[in-house]
Amino acid sequence: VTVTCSEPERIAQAREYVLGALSAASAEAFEDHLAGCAGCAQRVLEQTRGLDALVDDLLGVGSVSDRFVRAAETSPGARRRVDLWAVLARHVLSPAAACAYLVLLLAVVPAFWLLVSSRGRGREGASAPAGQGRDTIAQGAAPRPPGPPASSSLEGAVRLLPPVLKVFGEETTRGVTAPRQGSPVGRGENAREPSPEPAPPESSPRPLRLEWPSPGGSLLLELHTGIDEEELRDPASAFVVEVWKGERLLWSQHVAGQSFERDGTLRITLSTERLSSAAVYTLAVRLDKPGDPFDREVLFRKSISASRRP
Amino acid sequence: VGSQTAPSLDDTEIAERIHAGDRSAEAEMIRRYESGLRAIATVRAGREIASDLVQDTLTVAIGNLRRGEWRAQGPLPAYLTAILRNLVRRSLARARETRDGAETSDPERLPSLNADPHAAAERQEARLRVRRALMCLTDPHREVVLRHYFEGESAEEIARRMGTPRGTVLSRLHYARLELLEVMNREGTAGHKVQGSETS
Repeated sequence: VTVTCSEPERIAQAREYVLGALSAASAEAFEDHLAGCAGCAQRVLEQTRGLDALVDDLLGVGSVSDRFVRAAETSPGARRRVDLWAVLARHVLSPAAACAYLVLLLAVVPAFWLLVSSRGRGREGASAPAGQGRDTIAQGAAPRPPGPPASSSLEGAVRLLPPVLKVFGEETTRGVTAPRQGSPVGRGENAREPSPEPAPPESSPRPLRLEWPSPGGSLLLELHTGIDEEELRDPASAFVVEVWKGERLLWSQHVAGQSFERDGTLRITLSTERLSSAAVYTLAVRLDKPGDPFDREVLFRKSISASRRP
Repeated sequence: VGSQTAPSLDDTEIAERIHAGDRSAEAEMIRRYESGLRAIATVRAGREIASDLVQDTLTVAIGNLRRGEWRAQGPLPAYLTAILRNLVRRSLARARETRDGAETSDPERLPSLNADPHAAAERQEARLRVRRALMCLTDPHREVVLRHYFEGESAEEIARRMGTPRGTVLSRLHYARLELLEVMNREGTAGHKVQGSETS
């Protein structure tokens, strides 16, 4: 004999229970019913799968403990606030940074004076580039130009500034990833089914080599994705930033088009504590535009190898 | 729509037979209540450790019933859920201790779970944050999210049922995700501040 449990309030309660919207007393009363009702139990389990799909979408496919990259903040305003205060608190207001600025000032002023005076005298070769120390850090922007090393005091001082690495992607062919079939919206056919596993992007022939001084910290990467502004401003477009280690997807994060600069630059923070030396990671940005023939296509890709400088 | 199998044995009879050593009555109790307990454990502690908690609940309950410790003071489902809730509380407390670095020397309190309790607790914490953030969404955004993720409806279905263009549905879904992330980030930042002020 089967007793049908079709009360609309039970059905509504199942969702409210999963969402945590019931009072403690109501939740316990519902649980007493739920323990003996296979139908309601099935409904609750379906709803929890929906919640898990949402959590996956918001936090990425990796577990929270796998999160070692924090994507750029979701809104440009928030990003500006966080960047400003983070930089001020971490690098400007600290005593170490103040000392570094003093050293930098003492090094730059005489160098500038020497440069001006040497130009005035028409001599060549005395233009010790003040930006060379920065080039050492911004290895993503360009290989370090040949020439004499910068003065040690200048280089050491500059290294205390937040390293911003410009990362330019390699040329990516459109259509590397086959578009998904029959999925009008969301991850997979519907939210309850697991997403199709994305294929790892091809690794770069020459990964960008990152180095950071021990004990490390965070690196701010500027990914120059080159994504069109029109694509970025399309409300239907979203993007997924992924970090791969070989064939294994370590982390992913959904990023809105608003998080990019107008020129397609996206800033992400990379925590060096979770990077292994001598390993090659691939950064990728995919299009997440359900229904678009190029949905899930890799729009940006760059491999990096990370090593800690002793 | 749920269904509830009417018991051929009532709960009191099941308890009496288990007390008398009838293994089939134990199987009947497990069959009757296992899925419901699993649903409760999944919501309260996460699917990663739900199976372990249900197994522990049934083990404790059967042990008590064999010893005749349940005398039909109340409905059997309420008795089982009370055991489960206690186990969930202990499990979450254990995970918090592990996360905070506390050590335990009590062998009964050592983790006996297949899943990594720390990772499971973190995942459950993320679920709770998403749940709270959902409550902060505007009604149109929340409805789209619930229909899409919880009911599995496509954008076309949602648009048809809500009488809005498909593009509006996609846009709401997009901005709802952003709102959720912002709320969660705000909550995370506030949590750090609270923690910092407590420790200082």
